[in-house]
Amino acid sequence: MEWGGGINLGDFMVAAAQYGGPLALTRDETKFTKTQHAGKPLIFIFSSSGRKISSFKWTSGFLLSLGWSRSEDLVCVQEDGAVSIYDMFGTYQHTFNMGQEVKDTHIQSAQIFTSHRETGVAILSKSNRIFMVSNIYEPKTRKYPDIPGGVVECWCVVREERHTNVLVSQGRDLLLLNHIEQRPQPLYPEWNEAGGCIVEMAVSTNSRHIALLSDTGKLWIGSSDIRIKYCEYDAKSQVKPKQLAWCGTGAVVLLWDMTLEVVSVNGDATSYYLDSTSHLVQEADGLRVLGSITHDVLQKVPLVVTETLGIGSMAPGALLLEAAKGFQERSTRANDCLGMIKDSVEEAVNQCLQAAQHEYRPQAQKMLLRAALFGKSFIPEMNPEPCKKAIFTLRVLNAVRDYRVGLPLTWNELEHLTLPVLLDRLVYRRYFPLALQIADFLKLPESDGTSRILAHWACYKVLQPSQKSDEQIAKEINSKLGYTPGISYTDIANRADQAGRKQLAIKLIEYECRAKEQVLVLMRLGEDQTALRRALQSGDTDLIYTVLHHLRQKLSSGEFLMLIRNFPVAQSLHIRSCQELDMEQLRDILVQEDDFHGQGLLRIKEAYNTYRTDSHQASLVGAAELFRKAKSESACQMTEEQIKLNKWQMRLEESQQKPYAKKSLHDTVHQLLLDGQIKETEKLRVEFKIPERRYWWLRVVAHAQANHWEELANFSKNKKNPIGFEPFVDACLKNGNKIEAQKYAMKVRDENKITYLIKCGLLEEAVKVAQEQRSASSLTKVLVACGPQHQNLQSRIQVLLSDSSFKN
Amino acid sequence: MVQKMTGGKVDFALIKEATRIELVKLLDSIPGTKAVVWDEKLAGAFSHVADYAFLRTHDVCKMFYITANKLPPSNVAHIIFLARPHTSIMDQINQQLRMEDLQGSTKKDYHLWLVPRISLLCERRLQEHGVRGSFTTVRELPLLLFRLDCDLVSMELPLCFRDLQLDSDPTSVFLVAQALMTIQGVFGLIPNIYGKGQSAKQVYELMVRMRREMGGNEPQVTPQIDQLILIDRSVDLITPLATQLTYDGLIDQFYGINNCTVKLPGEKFAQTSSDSPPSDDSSFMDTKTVQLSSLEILYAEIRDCNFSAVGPRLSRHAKSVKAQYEERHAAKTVGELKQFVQKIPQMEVHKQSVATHTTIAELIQEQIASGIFRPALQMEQEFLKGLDTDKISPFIEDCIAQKESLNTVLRLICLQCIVNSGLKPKILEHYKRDVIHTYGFEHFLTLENLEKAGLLYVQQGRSTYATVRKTMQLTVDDVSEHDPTDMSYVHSGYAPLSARLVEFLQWPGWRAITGVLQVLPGPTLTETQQLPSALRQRRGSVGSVQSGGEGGTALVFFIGGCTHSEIAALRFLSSRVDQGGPEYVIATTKIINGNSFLQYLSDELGGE
Repeated sequence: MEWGGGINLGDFMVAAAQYGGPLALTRDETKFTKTQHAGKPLIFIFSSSGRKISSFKWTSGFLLSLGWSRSEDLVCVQEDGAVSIYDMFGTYQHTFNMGQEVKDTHIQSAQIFTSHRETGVAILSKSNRIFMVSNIYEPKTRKYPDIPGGVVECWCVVREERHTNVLVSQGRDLLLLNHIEQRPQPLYPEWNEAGGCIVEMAVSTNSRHIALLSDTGKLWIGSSDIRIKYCEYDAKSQVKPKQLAWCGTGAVVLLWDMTLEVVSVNGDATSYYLDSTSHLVQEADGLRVLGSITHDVLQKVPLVVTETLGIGSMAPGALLLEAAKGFQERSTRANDCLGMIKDSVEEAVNQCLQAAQHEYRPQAQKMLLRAALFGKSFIPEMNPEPCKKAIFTLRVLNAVRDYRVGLPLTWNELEHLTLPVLLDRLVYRRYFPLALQIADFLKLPESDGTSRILAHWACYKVLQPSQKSDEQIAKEINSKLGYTPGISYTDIANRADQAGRKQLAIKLIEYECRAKEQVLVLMRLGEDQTALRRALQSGDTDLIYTVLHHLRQKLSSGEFLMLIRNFPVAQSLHIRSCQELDMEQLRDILVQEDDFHGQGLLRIKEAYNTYRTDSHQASLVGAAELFRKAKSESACQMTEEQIKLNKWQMRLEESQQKPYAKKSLHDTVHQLLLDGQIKETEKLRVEFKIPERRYWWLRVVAHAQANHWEELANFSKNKKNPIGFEPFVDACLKNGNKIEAQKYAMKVRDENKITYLIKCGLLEEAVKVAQEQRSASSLTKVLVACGPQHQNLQSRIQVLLSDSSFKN
Repeated sequence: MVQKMTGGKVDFALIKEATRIELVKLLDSIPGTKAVVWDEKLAGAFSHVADYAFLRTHDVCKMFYITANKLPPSNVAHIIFLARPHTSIMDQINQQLRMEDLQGSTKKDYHLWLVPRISLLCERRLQEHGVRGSFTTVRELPLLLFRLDCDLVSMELPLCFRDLQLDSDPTSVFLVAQALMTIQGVFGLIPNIYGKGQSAKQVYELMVRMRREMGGNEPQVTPQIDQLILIDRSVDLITPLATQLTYDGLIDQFYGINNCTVKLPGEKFAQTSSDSPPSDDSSFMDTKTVQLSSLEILYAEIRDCNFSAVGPRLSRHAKSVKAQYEERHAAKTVGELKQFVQKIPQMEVHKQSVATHTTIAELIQEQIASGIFRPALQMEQEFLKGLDTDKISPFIEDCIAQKESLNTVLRLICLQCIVNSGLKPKILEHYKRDVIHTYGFEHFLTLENLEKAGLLYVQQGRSTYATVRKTMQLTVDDVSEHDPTDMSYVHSGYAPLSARLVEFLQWPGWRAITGVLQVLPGPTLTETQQLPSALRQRRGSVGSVQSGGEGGTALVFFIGGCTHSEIAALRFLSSRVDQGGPEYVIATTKIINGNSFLQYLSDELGGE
């Protein structure tokens, strides 16, 4: 033991966690006479190898009992029923109480027990009542049936499936307490000779077996429901042993001061003498004997080990081992032995492997593994996994059994505990490098191994006081962690924040690559600008809106607008949402940005959102003004024209008594033309500088539509025709006036003349024109257009076409 | 040119399947009877994934809509609100929930499923309303991609281009990146990424980010797609403005294809379906809804053909139908007759299909012949050839003067502007004034929007279109419409710039056209994604791509929408796999055409 020899365990209250967990020691107050100023007791926590992990001063009430939870937290039970939980570094976790009744009556004795998944506390109050909390992390006190008055000799907790029962020995009676029954059930273990009362009980770790010791020194071993008796053994001692414990499931151990008596379930017994006062720690597959100088593991030698290593054993494993040894010595013995196990090499290999698993000395492990591998080379088809697993796992076990780590685990315990839990325990003890090496060595997936360990390391790191700047720490953490998958910088940053290191948290969250987490943490830390920046980088608009929403609630409107103007995308998103919800805010932004053009557009939108003519007009005037300020000349001009048009339309509405509002200039002119108001249209033409071409079109279409043929004819006489006569023809035809159309057909430009003549049905003329143009293709066109009534014409065209002087 | 009906190596049916699995997972996570309260906008798109019958097999027994009214009473154990993450919808849900409370109906569990993703903003909104706690669960259903065909998915985000260009709202970029992560989740990491345009770059950057966020949890899928080509719509604004001349393209332009269905005027169809009894409910005959599915052999054959090639194909099919029926005379023995009878149902289907498409073709023919379709097309083709683009076009002027459709007019002006690399200030002014004068000041904002979206602008510097046109061979004079040898058949002589970019990427490579790439807006992207080592080794052996001596598969993603003509052009490229090119699959934010493209950008004042 690393603590040196100076500790006499006899003076201490000792509690050891299962699975090679830590030890807690505190001076046993009952063993010392109280002095006037006995200081507050200290609680020491050691690793299984006696290396001190921590110590702390116990400042609360009278400490009655110590124990460990499954997750290696120290459970301290006070006389008044308060139960406090500390971690193995002596850091206080939480406290709960066993209830008012317990507080009033105080506790006689307490037991900390582990059930299937959780750790519980059971107490016996001074009023002879049993109370229990079955999970210390979710404390709920349950009361057990009352026990009749009288001294309770001893009691223990027995798990049965999912129920937790309590066995109480009172005088000559053995009582079973459970939830189902209202009152205690008496039990009658079958003693060889009746009489005597039970003074000590021990339940095996798996809760299946129980050992009862009577005051006459008789030991009864049987099933935990007391129904089956395995054996009865006479310890031949009236002295009550210090401890009674199970060694795995195969034997019961009685500990007196320096003697250890091992009684197997068959009743065979052996005694050992110890060098110092010791303490027994019951494990699932053995027993640890904790002394001042040494820490031993007592275990039934597994059958496979005896078979393989036993002297003179003829088991396949033993022969294979012999063969392997012979092979190394280049002796023919190798061949002889192999020959004997020809048919059972595989079994031999498995035996060697299993034996190696239960060996503690690396030397022996190596020897057995070598033999196993030697044997395996004869069966190439054998699954290599078991070999691999044995080799790798043993290496891990050896590493954690090292006194510097001090986790004396057996193979079976590790199987039960599983590797991830082992890694957690290493991490918990802050053996980060070892944990990392193991994870690497076993090639665990990163999310289970490396990254989890690193994350724990980082969380630990941020809690450590350090001279380094936050920036440096963050960088250091990042350089170790990188972007290993599964690492959550959010968790680390949260941890730092909880520890009051906000700046470090801010630095750390910078490394988080999941934008959502990052932004949420940044907002919580009050780093709003950074949060916004990160949200923008993520491209996730929902996230950006969330930050904006948060900012708007936090800042004044002015501050908010000033802030987001540094972030164009955020600003445009905000503008976007304003367009839907909040026009006034939008105007504020545009004003702030001196965006006159934008303001102008907003005014125009407003103009069309109102039904009142005057405010419509006013908005347009405002818009024009803003466009002028923005130097958007064309927009300004168009708006002004619209204002002008509105005025004209109002005037027209009055004079004509017809609705003109909301009509475009085109439609206004068109309407006026239909009404024959040519003078008005002329005015509009001048006022709005309607281009000639459009004006002509307007007039032609409108006159034709209104059947103003005369007007159309007069208009056509205008010399400066910019559109030709095709529109005239089309307009007439469209309104079903072929005669009128024909009037204009001859005036159509030459290249279109044939087509238009045909359109008007003037086939004769078309032929004539075609003849003049001397174009065969034109003639063909006409020919196609000919109907049955044009037979003469048809034959004439045929004749003409045969004339070769026509061009194609 | 016949397209395969089943997918190539990459079939987007898998995407649909993946979404369905997600949906089933969600549904089965809630045991007991359920009612679904739909966001109305989602219901339609959802039919791509799961129909009512499917939902019913998962205990969904009632369907309602999210409205301002209270929910009808029902005796289900769970009520699921299925909604898009919009705060306004959250407000409605809040109201409905409160009315449920008032009713004091029997205890129900409420669930909220957001499509395509959970929104913090919405959750906060519900918190503010104080109803966040009423929901037992809030989950997301990552439904981003809708399969339209085995080689085509759409995100159904019609406003993507507008959001990006007009409102600088990058939401759709984020969604595109997410959709690509979904695709990569199904088809594996895409090793090579190319792209052109600002948003292409942004999408790529977000993909890198998202990949990092996933950490080591990337799905281990053997890559099935070799290349990703991201095309920002603003790189090629010409194509959406050009008239599409494929069968699909024309149907879409005249009638609009939505979710693979098109609504057509019904009266034409009334005569053809002779077997149906003369209908009394003539109101139903007003429109006829036709499902356009590539499972229909005839449609699959003609959809990407130039319209002038559709007629001959239809008549050939008509003849074959007739010939098949004639076979009955040849059937002499009972056995032969039986064989013939067995074929009848199939023949009936085919006959119906020929009839339907012949009618559609007639409808299109009418549309083409009427109005200014042909002259406008002629104008457009002159512009595309770069003729007289720097002058005011008398044709456009006349169109305006006759108040032809505003869409056509704006389309032509924008087209002229783009091929001229901007218009002279005077010309632009002239057009704008003309438009406002004729169509009204209500269109003022639309013009502003077009300017902001980069479709109308004042010329700065020399026109670059000539170079682009020449290098990229955008116009081809002697293209065969019936038996095309070049993709330019889709616009009868103009090859979509976007599709040409894709074509040139494969050969001779983008390095050969650096000049053009510099001229086109936005950065050029050439990136590779490192595959996880485990997958890299396997690449050589299983299902891989380059190894088979073929061109592999390339995914072309259009950010801001793509046209049917572009789809046809890329399918045309796919049909030439034998020439060593890759097989293309296409993803887009929405299928657009000249009308819808401009429609999405317009803001008519005083409209509604």
